[in-house]
Amino acid sequence: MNEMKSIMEARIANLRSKMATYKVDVLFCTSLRSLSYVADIYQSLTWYVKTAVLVPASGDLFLSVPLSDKARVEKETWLKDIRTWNPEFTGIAERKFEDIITEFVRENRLEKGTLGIEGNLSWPLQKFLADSFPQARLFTIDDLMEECMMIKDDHEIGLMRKAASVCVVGYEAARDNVNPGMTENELAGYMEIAMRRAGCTGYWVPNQVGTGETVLLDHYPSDTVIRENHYVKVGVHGTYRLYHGDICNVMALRKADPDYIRLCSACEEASKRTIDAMRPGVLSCDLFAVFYNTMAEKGYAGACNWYLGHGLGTGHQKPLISPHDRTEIKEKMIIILNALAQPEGKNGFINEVMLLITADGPELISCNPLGLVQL
Amino acid sequence: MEAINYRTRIEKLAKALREAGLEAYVGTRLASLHYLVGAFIPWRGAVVITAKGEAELIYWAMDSERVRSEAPHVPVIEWGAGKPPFIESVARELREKGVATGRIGLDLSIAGTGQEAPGLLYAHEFIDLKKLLPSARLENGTGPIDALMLVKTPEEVERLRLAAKAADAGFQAGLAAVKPGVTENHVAGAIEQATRDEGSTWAWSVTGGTEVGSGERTGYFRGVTQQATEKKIGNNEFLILDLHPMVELYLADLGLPVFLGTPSDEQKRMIDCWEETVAGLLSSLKPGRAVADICSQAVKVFAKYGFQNFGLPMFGHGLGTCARLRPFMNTKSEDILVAGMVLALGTHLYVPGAGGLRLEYPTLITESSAVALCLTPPKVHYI
Repeated sequence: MNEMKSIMEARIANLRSKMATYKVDVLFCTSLRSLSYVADIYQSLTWYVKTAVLVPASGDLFLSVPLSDKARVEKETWLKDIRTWNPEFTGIAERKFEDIITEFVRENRLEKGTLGIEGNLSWPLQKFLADSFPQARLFTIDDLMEECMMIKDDHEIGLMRKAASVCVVGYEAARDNVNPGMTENELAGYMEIAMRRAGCTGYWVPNQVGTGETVLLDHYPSDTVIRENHYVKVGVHGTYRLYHGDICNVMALRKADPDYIRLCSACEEASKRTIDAMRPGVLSCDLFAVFYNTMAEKGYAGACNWYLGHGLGTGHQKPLISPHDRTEIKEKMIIILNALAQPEGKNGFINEVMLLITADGPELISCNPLGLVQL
Repeated sequence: MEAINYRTRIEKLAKALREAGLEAYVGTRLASLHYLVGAFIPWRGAVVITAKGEAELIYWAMDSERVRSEAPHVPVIEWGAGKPPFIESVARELREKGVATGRIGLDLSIAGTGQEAPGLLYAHEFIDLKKLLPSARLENGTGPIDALMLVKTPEEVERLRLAAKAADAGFQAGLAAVKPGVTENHVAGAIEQATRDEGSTWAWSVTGGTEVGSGERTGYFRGVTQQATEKKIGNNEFLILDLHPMVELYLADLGLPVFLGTPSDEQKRMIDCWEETVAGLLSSLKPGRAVADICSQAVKVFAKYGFQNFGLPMFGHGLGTCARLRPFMNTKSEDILVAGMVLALGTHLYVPGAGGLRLEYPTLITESSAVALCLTPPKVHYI
């Protein structure tokens, strides 16, 4: 617990340094990814219940949760100050979430300060803050939070390695169990039970199983029956102790068409070159260019106009591998390379692997294949 | 399976919008998207329905091809990947439909519960929309659509039964997997595989998926969240298995207590209290009865056993394409039960140190009483 406390205190010090840069007096953290990052707690979707960590520029942090979550959260978080809200219960008067926040702002004399809010705040709550504190400045802190969360500490890197290994277990279960005649849902079941047995604690977005004579980039499991002439795409999204994994592979049950193999090989080569380029100091838009130019060289210009990857941790985050993101790649980032190509009117290909950026370059932390898996 | 006529739904909503004086509704909640579009919508999207009955889905470009194939009755306008961003696209569609200066209903908040629903419009989205449509009167518009979703059609009940069947299979698989020394995650995996085999396409997100809690983790004071962990299950303790499969976009919510071993005297008293509360609730569900009265009666059973401080005065919620739907079963509710409503009937009793019991039980209100959609009995299951 002491070790965790020192890890979290280092995180808070980093956040406070960013707060000083952005001139923010308090962080009002409400997103699921920030609650995990700052409080080290699981929460069901934060738009479901009002949960927040308040991080003042100095002094103690506090966590506000529904009364019904207090006992659980106390066991998970390193924070000591937990304040609860509740509807009226037998013997307990109603206490509103909004009142807790108001008290904090007043106690800390922040009525004229800069209140940092996250992009997931509901309109009624933001309006409440604006109406209650008309002299305060509401400032969106999504960039500030991302700047901190993008660079992982050693504890986070350990958890991301485990999340990656859990996802690979899911992929391998799919590869080993896929058979013509089964449904996409059944295959998803094989993936999920294998991941759970490997310690997976849930899924941050739905797992994907898509099957057919063509490959859709996004496809969710249904009762569609897998056939002998199908391609099967699996997207695996296991979580391990609040940290997310994200891998994807396309498997061919049939002998793949030569044209399709050529596309997949081009993507694989583009992925390898992009990975080789993932070094500290490079801009994420330059990584996009490496992939795009390789695909163009192979005759697939225009087949990959969407973004080709993202950072990952307690949530989806920067850097985005896109032509528009100029984030500098830094040591200790975790990047998902989301290699994809969709030539117009033709079969698409998608592959995702997880990488850790080190001082010497990239390290693949997921060991799933980069190219088409021919079964 | 009987097909759902989505066009009829859209026309009914358009009529309700006209009656409410709204020119359009922009639905972003999972509930509305699934109800009106009829395709799985995991990414940010908005369904725009005008009072004239026009309908469009604004959806993330990367997943739009799939949705077009699953829901051909609703035109899909893409956002992202080189197309305009989400809110800009919503504003443009409202302008093109000639409703940009009228009253527009949005998914801003839901009434009747302290909880919030997945997919409500974010504050920054609201602010952007207001800037793009300065003459529009933007307001909360959940009333008409929520009223429409309250009473289920036979086609919806058929799908809810399938989801309940998947939940039954999951619960039986979970029960079979429980033994001393296995982890909560292990049991969650068995549940998830069985529900997948019965056609579940997703463990819905509101609670983050399958919940399995054991021992002291079931007895958090007024606790309602038990995400599965690596905790090993021990002898002589309660477990809570809470399953959330989705079939054909309709949800089940089956939560039941399990006891592994032999309960202590206090635990036996908790079981008696919980089972009496559940039985009382089930027998009191009838069309015409006020939800608040039913819930007040149930609270009295907790008090009779001396557990008034440990039983939650919340007894479930509506169930359909989401679980944050009316009727919210609590003592403040103004809803009256009507035939065709479907509830996840709830009973929560959590005693720190002794453990906890939870009911979440899909139940259909019929013309004269109520019937369970699951076959698994609403009682404590012993191993």
